[in-house]
Amino acid sequence: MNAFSPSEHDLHAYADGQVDETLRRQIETYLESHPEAAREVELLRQESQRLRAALDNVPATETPARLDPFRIRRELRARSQRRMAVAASLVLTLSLGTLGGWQLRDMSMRKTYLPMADATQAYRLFAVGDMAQKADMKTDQPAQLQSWLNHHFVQAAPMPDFSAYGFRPVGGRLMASDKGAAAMVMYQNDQGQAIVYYVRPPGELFNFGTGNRKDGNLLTQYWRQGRYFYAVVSPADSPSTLPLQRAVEPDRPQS
Amino acid sequence: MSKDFNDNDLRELLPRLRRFALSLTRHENSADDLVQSCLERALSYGDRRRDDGDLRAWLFQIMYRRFVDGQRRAKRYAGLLSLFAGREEELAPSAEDVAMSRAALKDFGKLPAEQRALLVLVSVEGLSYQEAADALDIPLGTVMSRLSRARKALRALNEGQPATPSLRILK
Repeated sequence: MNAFSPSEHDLHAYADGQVDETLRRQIETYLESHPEAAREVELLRQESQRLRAALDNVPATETPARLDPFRIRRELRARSQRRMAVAASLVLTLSLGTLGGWQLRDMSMRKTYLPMADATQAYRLFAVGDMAQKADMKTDQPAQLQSWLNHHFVQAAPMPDFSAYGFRPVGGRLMASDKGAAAMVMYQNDQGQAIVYYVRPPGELFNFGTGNRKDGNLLTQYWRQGRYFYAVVSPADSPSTLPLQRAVEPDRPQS
Repeated sequence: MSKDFNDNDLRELLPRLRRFALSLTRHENSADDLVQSCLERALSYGDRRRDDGDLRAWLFQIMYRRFVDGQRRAKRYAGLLSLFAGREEELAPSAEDVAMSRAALKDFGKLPAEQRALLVLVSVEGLSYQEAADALDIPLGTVMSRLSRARKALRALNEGQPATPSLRILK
């Protein structure tokens, strides 16, 4: 009749009822004249039918309650709430730990950090021997030194006048700090004793208030005012500097 | 919660889902675990469902993916175990364990999981070839060839069956 011959896949599809109208007609025509193919299709149908029957009451047991959609929804909600709680507590722990660790680090650094140590070192380096040799600004005119300071610092505090205690400025010197220029002004009295007045911008790490520190035979008194840190470094165990130190720090004990 | 299906739709499909799961795992307990994990997934990702698809086909797809994932994990785990144990443990279940104990299902249970899945979807659930292809993540052509391979294998098992039982018992 015609040359059409369905493939094996066509026969399966036909047995499963998954062919379109044209193909179905073609196959039916073909099966009329090909009994062995028709038998095969019949067999395929029977096998599917058998499988359906075998699986019909599977699984035989009652559906467990845990599979009920409502219950699963509830379980999912509870689980996500638990997860949120765990996540929140993790975040809390982590931030507490970080914060605490930072605080500890800060504390341990503060313990070893010496405020205005650079002023003390500047004294050791420059306020010995012939200071005038080492000065950038060799002048004993306070007004000149003040304008030199004003040139390098914005709104610097007025230079202290220690002449009442016998100390007169002899020169100034620029220093470098990690945050810009620092400056020292050297004072000397008639006995050749030196004190240093030190100005510098604040560092990045720590800010500190007013205080003093004795380092060897040197007393460093420091404070903050406006944009800068200031320090006065003077020999500690000298009767001639005591009144001066008291003037810098009025509530300093009388010893 | 989800816009296009509710709990009752799901409840109605539960027996079919359990049947498909059982045909995959062949154990009732693990089958119900699979159904549960499938429903959890479906309920938490309900919004991502394609609107046009049949709910049943979509659920079968989720379940089959979960099953394949689980198989992969089990295989990896077994490989890991064999590193320690020296040899791979026999993972096949004992006969009493198998829920599909009826004679007709015995042969079916011997087929590879992918063939069992396809036969259930097409012959039992009556999914179209295209839906079955989507659910199993395989091309349409593979559906056809796998289907005829599966049916041939099942037929061979069925035909081999009647002659042997008495002999086996005598052994």
